[in-house]
Amino acid sequence: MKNLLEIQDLTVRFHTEDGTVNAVNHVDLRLEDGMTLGVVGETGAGKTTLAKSIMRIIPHPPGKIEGGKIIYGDRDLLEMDDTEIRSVRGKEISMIFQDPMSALNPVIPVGEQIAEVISIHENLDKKQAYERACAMLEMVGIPAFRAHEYPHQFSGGMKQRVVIAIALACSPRILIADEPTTALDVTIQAQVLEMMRDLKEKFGTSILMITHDLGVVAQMCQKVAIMYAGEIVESGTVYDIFDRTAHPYTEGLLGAIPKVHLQERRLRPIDGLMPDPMELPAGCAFCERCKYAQERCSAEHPPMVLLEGEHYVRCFRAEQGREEDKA
Amino acid sequence: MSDANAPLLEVRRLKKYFDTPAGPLQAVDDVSFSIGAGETLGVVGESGCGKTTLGRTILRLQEPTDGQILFHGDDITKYSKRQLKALRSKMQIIFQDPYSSLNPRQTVAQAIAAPLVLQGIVRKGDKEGLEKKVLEMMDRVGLARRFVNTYPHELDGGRRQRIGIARALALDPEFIVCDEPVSALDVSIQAQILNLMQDLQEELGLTYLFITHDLSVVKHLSTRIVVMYLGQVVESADPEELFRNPRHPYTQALLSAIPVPSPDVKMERVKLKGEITSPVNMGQGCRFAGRCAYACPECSQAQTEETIGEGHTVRCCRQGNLSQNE
Amino acid sequence: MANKTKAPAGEARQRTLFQQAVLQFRHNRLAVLGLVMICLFLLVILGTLIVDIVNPEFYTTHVIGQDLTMRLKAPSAEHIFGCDEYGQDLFFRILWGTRLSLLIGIAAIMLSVLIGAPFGMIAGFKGGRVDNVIMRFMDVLLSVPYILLAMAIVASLGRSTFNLLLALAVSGIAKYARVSRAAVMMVKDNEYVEAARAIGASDFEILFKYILPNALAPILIQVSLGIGDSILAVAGLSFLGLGVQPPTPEWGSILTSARTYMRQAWHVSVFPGVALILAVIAFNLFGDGLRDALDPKLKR
Repeated sequence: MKNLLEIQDLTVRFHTEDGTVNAVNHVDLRLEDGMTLGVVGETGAGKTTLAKSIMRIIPHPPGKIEGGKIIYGDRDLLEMDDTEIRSVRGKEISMIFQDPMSALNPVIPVGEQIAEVISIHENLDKKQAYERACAMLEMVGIPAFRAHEYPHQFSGGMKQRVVIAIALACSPRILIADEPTTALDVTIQAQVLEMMRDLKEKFGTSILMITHDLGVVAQMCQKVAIMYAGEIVESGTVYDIFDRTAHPYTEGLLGAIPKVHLQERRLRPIDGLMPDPMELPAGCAFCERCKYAQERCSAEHPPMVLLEGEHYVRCFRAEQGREEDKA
Repeated sequence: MSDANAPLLEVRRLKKYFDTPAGPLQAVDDVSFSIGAGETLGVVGESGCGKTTLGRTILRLQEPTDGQILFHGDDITKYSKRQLKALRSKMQIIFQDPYSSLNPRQTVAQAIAAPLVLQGIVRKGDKEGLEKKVLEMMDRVGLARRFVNTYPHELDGGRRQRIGIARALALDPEFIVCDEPVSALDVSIQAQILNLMQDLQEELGLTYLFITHDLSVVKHLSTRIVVMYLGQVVESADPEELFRNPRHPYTQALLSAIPVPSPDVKMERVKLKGEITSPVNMGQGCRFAGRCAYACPECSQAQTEETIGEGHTVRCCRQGNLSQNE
Repeated sequence: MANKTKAPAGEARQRTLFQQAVLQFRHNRLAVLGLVMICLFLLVILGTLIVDIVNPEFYTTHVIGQDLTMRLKAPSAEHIFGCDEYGQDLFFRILWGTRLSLLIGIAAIMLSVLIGAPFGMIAGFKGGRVDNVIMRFMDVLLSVPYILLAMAIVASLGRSTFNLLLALAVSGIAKYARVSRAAVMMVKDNEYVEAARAIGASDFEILFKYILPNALAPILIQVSLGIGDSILAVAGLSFLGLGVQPPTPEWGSILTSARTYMRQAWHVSVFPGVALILAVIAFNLFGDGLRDALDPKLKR
């Protein structure tokens, strides 16, 4: 499968008064054509920063992309000048944010907001752009006659549909969705996710889905990357992650979520907290919370190990397991 | 007045309406249930279904429009200000947002001490006694003692929520309304807090009213679950029964909408039309009918809660006998 | 070890809210400049007060002492700011004028806040009918332009420094009532206020322990930004002849007389004008800095 977007060794830091926040540390990630890649992590894991780096919308200062490459096609997005990256944003790669309430301009009718994106990137006159906008609205399940209405006349789920319509208006190759349904109710979330799945089929868009919800990942994604303290700790296919879990953090996450489909008396939380991204430990970032931690874990930083196929994990246990297999 | 055999809390035909220019907003409309001592009642519903208002009204943080709230068999809707203040030490609340539910200008110690001083449990000048009690509460909720003089903004969400729990427990209450206590927290922290609440319940014999939008959270925590839609209880049952045999179309849709965290389980979703509205000027008919796949002419009539099995009630004219009429 | 993360991460984070605000403020160079300027003005006021006490003669000879031979004299080594139309030394008049110009402005604001804020807070906290009655009254006050209101007060009570102060204070009440009401209403909806109610706190306790400390910041910011306006208003009313009466030195009244001689003697209008501008800028810079330091939205 062809890589549509390849992130190599990306490092993003925020330089603040109190110190340097290591938000994203040496992240490697591949988004294949036509796939949905889920990036899972908790608050502060650096997943939103990762997404914003791809769009090059990290606020600078204090944020700075300190190293790495983001290869799209045959170009490095980080090398592009401002004009070039603007022609990529919204046209080739678009992004939707968590909060649909603040993502729309409250004083412009939704139809015009969609048409505006279209007319920036496509060579269409005003009327054609507006017609396309109406077609987009229909596509996301909103009747075209509502195009002249303002954002406040729509409910939360409807607004997120409009946001998605804007993002998909120029048929981008990649859609980055940052917690697209977190602000929505479950029944509405289900509607929006289903719509995203349909649209992905229709447009052949690849999706980078950023979320904290393992349920959403299991239902939406083919590939998954688990992020912890700014780095990828495990990645692979959705079956690798859920059925052949290798990293203790992933194991902990799966144990901690309440599951509707299973009987359980008690959840198994992960003790402790994520380390402060200003003072990352020298060894494994997870070792303080890890029940399998050994001496080595706090001293050395574990490398990414390939288990099989495309299942990678950043843990010494996996490495040992492989050596034992060989022996 | 107190009746020894009465459930700890009984709510009878509780109503809370708000005046709006478009007519009365029926945030809580004719809700009845009871909770026995040591039990947990899960209240589930989406935003705007009135579950938060219900919790606030039961504590009389908001005045009920109509109905009775019996605590130990005693109707607290008629309580005077003074009686109400005494009642506060018996009924407490834990809030959803650990960021806005703590006074940013109070340290951890001050936040936990506030109820103790207010209720006169510890004398105002008794610094030692107060500190001892505060540290005891911090130990109980698993908050390290070194945080005693920090401000909430220096702590993460999980720790803040522990402060909120400590503050509620400081008065040694019997009954606690938990208003989405974990929905603002990360999953790994969420499990820590849920387990803490479970431990505390067993240890102290607490009774919970657990309000949430997330059915999976209440599933293993509740002794009984009520599902709310637009101010009304549409279905209630014990968790196993509710998850195995949901009878109201809305419960079914809600259950099927939860994304299952396993790629091997493929979801079959009960489709819902449209979105939740607000319960302004509702007629007497079924409030869910507009979105229901099984709507029929009888739905425009008044719906009553009918018992269809042991402890299983449903507010639907089909009483759960759902077969689609084309 | 498992819990070692957020709080003890370097002593730097264990700051009180006040220390944080100070730190934030110190990073803002313009705000610090404003503060320094304000301190200088205060030093001038202090200095003139000391001189008045130690040597009362100085005031009568150098500040209000007239010497017509020096009429409209341009700045020189002897009179570094020159002299006005009565031959009074402009430098000393401006120094001595600082006292009234600034203090009336500040005192007027304080008075407005002391009267307006409690009303606004009660209105915001109670809401409903109480809110309606208080705020409609404030609207009436607000609907009269402050100059007109001040003119009416001064006209009916007579021209005096105290009446000027009173006039300005009354015209500011409505503004600070509104600011306080908005601040209280914003804080009131926080869950911690409801939490306080849930532990049995009375309205009084809630208002003073939970709402006031959190609503104070926006009120303070408005006050510090308002002082500049208030100083201008003092000068303005004095300029119109409604306030401080000559020969008492005050920047506004110096400007009034300077107006006539603008062509012959530039220095008579420029120096008090510059002093006025500097004072207003100082308070505005300070107020801006204070807002940035106290506004929680700008915090990380």
